[in-house]
Amino acid sequence: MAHANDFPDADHGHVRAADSHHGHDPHDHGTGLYWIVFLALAGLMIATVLVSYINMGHFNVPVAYGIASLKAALILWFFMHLNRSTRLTQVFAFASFVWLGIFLIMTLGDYISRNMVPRAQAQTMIRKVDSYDVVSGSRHNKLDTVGPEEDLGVQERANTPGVTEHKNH
Amino acid sequence: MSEIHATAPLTHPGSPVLDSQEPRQFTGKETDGHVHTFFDQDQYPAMHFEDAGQQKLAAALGMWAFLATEVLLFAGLFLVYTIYRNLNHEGFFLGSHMLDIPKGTANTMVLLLSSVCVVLAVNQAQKGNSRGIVRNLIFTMILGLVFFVIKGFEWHHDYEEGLVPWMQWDGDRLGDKNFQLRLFMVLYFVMTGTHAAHMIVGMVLLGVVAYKAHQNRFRPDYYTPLEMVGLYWHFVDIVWVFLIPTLYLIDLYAKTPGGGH
Repeated sequence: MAHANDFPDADHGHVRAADSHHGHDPHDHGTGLYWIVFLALAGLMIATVLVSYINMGHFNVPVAYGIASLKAALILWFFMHLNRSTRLTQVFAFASFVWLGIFLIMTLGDYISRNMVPRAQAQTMIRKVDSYDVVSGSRHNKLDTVGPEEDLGVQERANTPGVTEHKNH
Repeated sequence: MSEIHATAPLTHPGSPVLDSQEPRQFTGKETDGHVHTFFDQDQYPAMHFEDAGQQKLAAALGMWAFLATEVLLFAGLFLVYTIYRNLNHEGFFLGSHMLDIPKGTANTMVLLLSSVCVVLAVNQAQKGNSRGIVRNLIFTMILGLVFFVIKGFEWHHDYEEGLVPWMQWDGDRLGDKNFQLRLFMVLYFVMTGTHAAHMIVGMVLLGVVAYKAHQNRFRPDYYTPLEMVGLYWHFVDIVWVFLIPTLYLIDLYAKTPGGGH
């Protein structure tokens, strides 16, 4: 569907389609394609419901969202007419998903990595934690109990009994 | 000077020439003496556009930029859901099992079918058939109402089950996991409620556009309002397509089809 220039098909497709009512213009779709897309969407809908009853372990969520993305792509491409939009419109549509990706990936990356520390730093912290009086089995992770900012002056505090316990309540 | 004015082209010298025809001027007075464009302008294309193609492109880009903001609005809700689901998986797992899968599936089908009707309305607009536009938009609005009826039954069932956090809440359910279940139901109602609010807006817009089609305001080369409202309706449909797995489906793997709650 290559356009000679980046302007919408209002001037190229639809007007001509209106001029020639008998379907010779490639832009003048019948409604058959829309019903085929609808059948595909309905099939995918049934598939995603049935598949969700199968336990695929780690693939439960990716499969569910993969099918949903496929359905969204069909709607975007055929129903929202991105297939005969201009490049610029397609870029605008795609850009919203770029922002979505930045939003989701960076925020979830933050949440997922909050309990992670680099290996070298973690080993240092474990060594320090083990030298203190840390109550084991508390609901906090050991690595969470000592942050970098708390390393200053720990020698004095470590000699005071009961200092580290408040962190475990 | 007067000679130059008489022979100079009407368009800007640097403007792209789309076709050899003059820009079409619709005064809106062709049928019943009223102005026939969306904002009751006197002409189409509007005077600040070079031509019809530019006007249509501007409308499309503005609509897609708006839809991008809507994507981010719903993305925030999905993100909150994802984070809280990972922090409170037990309550969310049980909560999704209390939802009505057949009703949710039926509503998806209703929305997909309504999207087809909008597309058929645009198709009728391309063919210049105003009655076809109105017919398909009425089908769309009826399907939107069917969606609300099904949703209403679902919400009423939740109310009777004591699953509505602000109105009717069974605080004894699940013991110390009650808070997690409540969090799930809050997110369920906020997300489906935000979606339902968008559907109400969409149905009002569909009504406006259907009225304009009824007044013969659209032509095969001018149906931009219909197309923009169609984009909005399809977007609402896409949101529901993602709401269904998020709220209803991703924790169903422990259940068998047809099994009870």
